[in-house]
Amino acid sequence: MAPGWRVVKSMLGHFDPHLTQVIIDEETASSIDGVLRQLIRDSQATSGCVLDRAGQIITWDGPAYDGQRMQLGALIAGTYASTREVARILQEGGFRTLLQEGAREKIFTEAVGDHWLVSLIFGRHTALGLVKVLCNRATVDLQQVLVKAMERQTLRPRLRDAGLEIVAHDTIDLIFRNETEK
Amino acid sequence: MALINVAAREIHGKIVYYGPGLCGKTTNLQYIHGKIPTGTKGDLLSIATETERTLFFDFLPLDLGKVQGFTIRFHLYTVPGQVLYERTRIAVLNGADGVVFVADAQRERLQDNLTSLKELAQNISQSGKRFLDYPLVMQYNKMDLPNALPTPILDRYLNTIRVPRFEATAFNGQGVFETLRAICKLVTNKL
Repeated sequence: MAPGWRVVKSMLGHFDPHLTQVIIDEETASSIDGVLRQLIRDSQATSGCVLDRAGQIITWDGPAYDGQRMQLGALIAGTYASTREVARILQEGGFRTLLQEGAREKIFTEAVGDHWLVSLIFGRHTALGLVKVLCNRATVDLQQVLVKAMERQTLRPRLRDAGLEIVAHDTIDLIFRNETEK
Repeated sequence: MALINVAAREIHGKIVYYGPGLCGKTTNLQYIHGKIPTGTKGDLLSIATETERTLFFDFLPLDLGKVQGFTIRFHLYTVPGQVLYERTRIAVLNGADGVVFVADAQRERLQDNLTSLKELAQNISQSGKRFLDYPLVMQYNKMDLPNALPTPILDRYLNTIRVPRFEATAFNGQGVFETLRAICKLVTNKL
């Protein structure tokens, strides 16, 4: 058992089927990082990320867009979600990929299973065909890693046992106050 | 879905502000963005029409800092409230960990509130979650207006499942942070 997993097992609660969560332990993070790094290297992309369909970035690799990555994640996931609704109206099973093409940068996004996305940002010197092929291969590896992570977390103990909930509530009270309450 | 990244020691939660058009969802986020200290917030991203109506969503990332070694982040979203954007609302609601339903307290908006609330319940149920167990907070906005319905009447029609609810006047901040605190706590309770 990886050390990170021991940490999370001691702090987090059992799986709540009504609020789907994903826990990325160190072993999972390392595997995802490895797949993403190789994908970026082989495709000669500049940056890439793996994110969930809610728009939360699991891992980012590459130097660009520091400080705007959360916004990018929200926009990529939102755009992908809207294409899924377009597919529904067209009575398509779904669009697995999404290409956004600008004069300088392109973003290629592909679904990883039903819950995640992988996105690559690349310039005009990178071949789109190569990105598509390599991305498609990487999604298979990424899905295996993430499905295993989902399976492992079903037996986790509760977050509130460790008192994190109480401390989190105190922090919420402290930070989210009106000026009149300070 | 809540994302707990042990390797990066981060916990992310997604909160969506839902409600009928012009009820004050974007105003809530604008007020929060204006009052939260710089180190706690990211940029407020708005995808709006030329007339400042929400077209896709508003997005505001909030960073609570470290709690027992974990950085806790809440990502606040709004949906576009206009009726024609129903499929866009479903797209934004995807993966939400909690919802703030912003109701417009004006007498003539009651039916719009009911329609929007019914749609929300359907969307949550269709995503495989039980609406009655879902982290939900209600905000009665525009309570300062002379045509606002009294809280007991709003309760009777809108809050039949008795979730936490707050009276608000979002443009001047009344009730905005009370609502935010309540939904953030409900989301952390479910972790």
